[in-house]
Amino acid sequence: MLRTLWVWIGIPLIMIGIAAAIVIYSVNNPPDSIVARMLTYERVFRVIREHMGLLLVSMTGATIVGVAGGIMLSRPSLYRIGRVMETIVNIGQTVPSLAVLALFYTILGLGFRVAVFALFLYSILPILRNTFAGIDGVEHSIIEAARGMGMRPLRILTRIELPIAFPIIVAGLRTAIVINVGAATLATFIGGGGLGDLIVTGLSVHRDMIIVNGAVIAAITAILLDYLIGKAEERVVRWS
Amino acid sequence: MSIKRLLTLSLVLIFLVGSLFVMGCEPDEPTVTVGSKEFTEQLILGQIALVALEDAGIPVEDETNLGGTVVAREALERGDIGMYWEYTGTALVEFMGHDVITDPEEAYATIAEWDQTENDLVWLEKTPFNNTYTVMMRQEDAEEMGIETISDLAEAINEGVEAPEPGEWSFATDHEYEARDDGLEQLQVHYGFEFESYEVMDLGITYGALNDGMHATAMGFATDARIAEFNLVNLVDDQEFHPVYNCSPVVRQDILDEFPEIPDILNPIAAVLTPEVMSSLNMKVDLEEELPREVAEEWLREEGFIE
Amino acid sequence: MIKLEGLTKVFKGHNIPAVKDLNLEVNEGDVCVLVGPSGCGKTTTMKMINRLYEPTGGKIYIRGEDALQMDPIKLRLDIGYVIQEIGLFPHMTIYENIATVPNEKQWPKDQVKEKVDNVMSLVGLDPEIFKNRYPSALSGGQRQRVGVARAMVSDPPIMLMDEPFGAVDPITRARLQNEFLRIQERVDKTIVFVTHDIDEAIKMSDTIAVMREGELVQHATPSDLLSAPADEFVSNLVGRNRSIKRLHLIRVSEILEEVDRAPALKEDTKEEEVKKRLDESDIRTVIVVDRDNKLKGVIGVNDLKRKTGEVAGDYFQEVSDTVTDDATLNDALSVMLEIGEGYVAVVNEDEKYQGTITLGDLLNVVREDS
Repeated sequence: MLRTLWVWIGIPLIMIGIAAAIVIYSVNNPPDSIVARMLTYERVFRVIREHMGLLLVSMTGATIVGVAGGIMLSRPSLYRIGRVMETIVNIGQTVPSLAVLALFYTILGLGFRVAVFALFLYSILPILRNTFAGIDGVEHSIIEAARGMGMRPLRILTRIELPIAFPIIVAGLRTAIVINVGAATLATFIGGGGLGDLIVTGLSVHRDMIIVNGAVIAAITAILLDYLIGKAEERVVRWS
Repeated sequence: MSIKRLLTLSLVLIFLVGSLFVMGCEPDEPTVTVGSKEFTEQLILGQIALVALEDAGIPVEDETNLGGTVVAREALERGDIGMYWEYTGTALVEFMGHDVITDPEEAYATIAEWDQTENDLVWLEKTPFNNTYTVMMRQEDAEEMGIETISDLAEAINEGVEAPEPGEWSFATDHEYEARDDGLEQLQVHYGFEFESYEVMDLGITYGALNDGMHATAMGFATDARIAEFNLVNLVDDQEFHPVYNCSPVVRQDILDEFPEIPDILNPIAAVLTPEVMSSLNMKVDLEEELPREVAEEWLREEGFIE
Repeated sequence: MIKLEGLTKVFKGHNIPAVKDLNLEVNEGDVCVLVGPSGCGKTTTMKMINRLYEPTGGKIYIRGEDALQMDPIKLRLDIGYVIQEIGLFPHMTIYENIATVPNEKQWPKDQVKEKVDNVMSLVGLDPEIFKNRYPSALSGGQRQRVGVARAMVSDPPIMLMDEPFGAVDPITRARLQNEFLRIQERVDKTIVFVTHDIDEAIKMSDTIAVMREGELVQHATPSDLLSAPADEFVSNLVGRNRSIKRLHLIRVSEILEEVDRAPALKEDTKEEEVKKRLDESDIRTVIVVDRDNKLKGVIGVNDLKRKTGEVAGDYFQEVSDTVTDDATLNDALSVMLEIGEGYVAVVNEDEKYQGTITLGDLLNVVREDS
């Protein structure tokens, strides 16, 4: 009980506390007018809200599309395309996120929605790949046993394939989230807002304090989300 | 005398004779070595000076593309180069340690006097273009609404004039301009108006955001190539809010003593370098991929400065 | 119970049929073993029965009903299926694994629980211990038991078993085979069993169907197969040592009744009695049991000479291995060779002593037969 409390409340609070301490200190002790202007509670909350917005919307879409796509590609009729897609996705992953953002800026223009869309597309890749690989990796004998016992294909998918692939799908999700939190700091270049506002502003006016605030919040967000998903997965997957 | 010593001696002799030859190649007659910083505008300005001086029969040497501000300035002070183009605002703050000045004439007079007395450097005529922060609109909007200055813009916004595309008096800014003390916040205080909204983005795309109608106004740098490319217009900073960065050829006094005709050659050229001219010259290099030298020659010929 | 008529399967992209015009009938309660070299079509035949493969031609009747007209899902739910790789679901507990078919059939929860507990006990897995474990925590033999339990839980009249004991070590395999035969005696399923191991075929089967290159070569009882192989292929498959193979056909319990050997000694037996019994014994060894008739050990002539106490319980030697009464004579022979003695003690499930059989007994059996 105490351990559960510590794992789910204690550790996250400590992480949030570290970020909060840095923000509170910075806001109350600005070394000059520029830092005072750029680091207000209102502004910090705004960029956090924007960042979470970018993350939440793009990750929700990417998870739905990535998992659904991975499942579809793993079906026998599309399996060949799936193998090809796996390669394409692996290549796609090597394209820097800034390049993806720049590409969508030239096609779609600027703003929050374009940034969300670019992040969405970028985050689909690891989720799609891991879903496909996870299902593809389920041993053939397991599927044969299930079929032989009279399970219908849809039941095999939901009761056998997806649960067995689950840890791999979650691993993809975690990769995507960590990439996404980082890549979302680039949204600021095309007017997408977020924690990147602080980081890039800090860089352009040479004020380390502004950079540190943006970077620390982003890093703690990534670590915390990864940690929480990992812990949640441990609770759900007890068999491996 | 051992073979070894003989060998050493002959090597020394070869070295000495070789050095003499090299030194002999150095021109005896005085030359004007023109330097520049490393970005497009500086490369073009350097070439303009080189072509114009050469055309007037002055021996020149090309040392453009030196690097950053500090490198160029030190080369000039040491005499490695005879001249390069510098911006008044930059020199005031970085070399003289003076506060920012927003009046072009005052900035020019201050730095010119200080450099003359302290460093034996002469600031020739400054350009009309002022490569500083600018507030831009699309040309057709500005003309249609009769907006020429930032005061006009402030008045239009305050009077509730209907905004051009996207239908709101919005402003595209980069990160630095949003944060600076002499940036967005104080601009609005100074001119007494407020944008209905603004969006922060990379400096490289404010021009495009304005051109594509995603914002009604935008900030940028006054001589950027994209101003010419996209048909944008710089609103005049009529209340002199932004620091000024007019550009002048800065020449060593000893070079001027040798070639007193230099001011007569370069001053008329500097006098016609308006922001529109500079932007279009930048565009030819940045976007049409012409060489700075070609652009300089072409423009000087068109303007009748050379045959 | 199962009748295959002119069954043919040609796989896409192949010219030669994997199974060609196969006719086979399996009676209710029989174990029919399909045997043959790999690629002979035995697995393909089996998978057509539950329609994991759709036949290219021919008919399948189950209890007189045309299986090809039935819904394959319903068909499979009533046919137990065990494969060599077992295919346990790693993310489910043993209980959930075994409950798969009842859950697919949407049985009520308490009925599922009762059946799972029963079938686990039947295959020798204590439900209280194993129910909530995951497959990864089980040994190979235990997993195989779960595989069988999972196939049997809904009490299907027919079971298909594809080399079910192929992946475990020989000793475990023999034990699983014996257990399976004991269970089969009780449940009396109709079973189609695939193996490439002729010894296993002889041991497990009521009838053996020998296949070669997609065709049925001979379908006969093991005894008939051994005495009258249809052609050279079958006799090669059976091998030269057919007499020894007969040892697979007879259980230890069957000959234990015929051999009349003196009962075991209690632990408190005095030296004179031990000596007397040793002299009478044809194997110069006597067996010692405790009050509950549980096997304690043996005493040989040398043990008596070097005795360290007054009664038998003080100086017996422990035995290194025994056989159960449901083992075959072949198993008994293996153990004798293993422990290097001319005899082996027989115990029942509860480790109660049942008797002793000797190499001589086995020789008699082989001699009688041939």
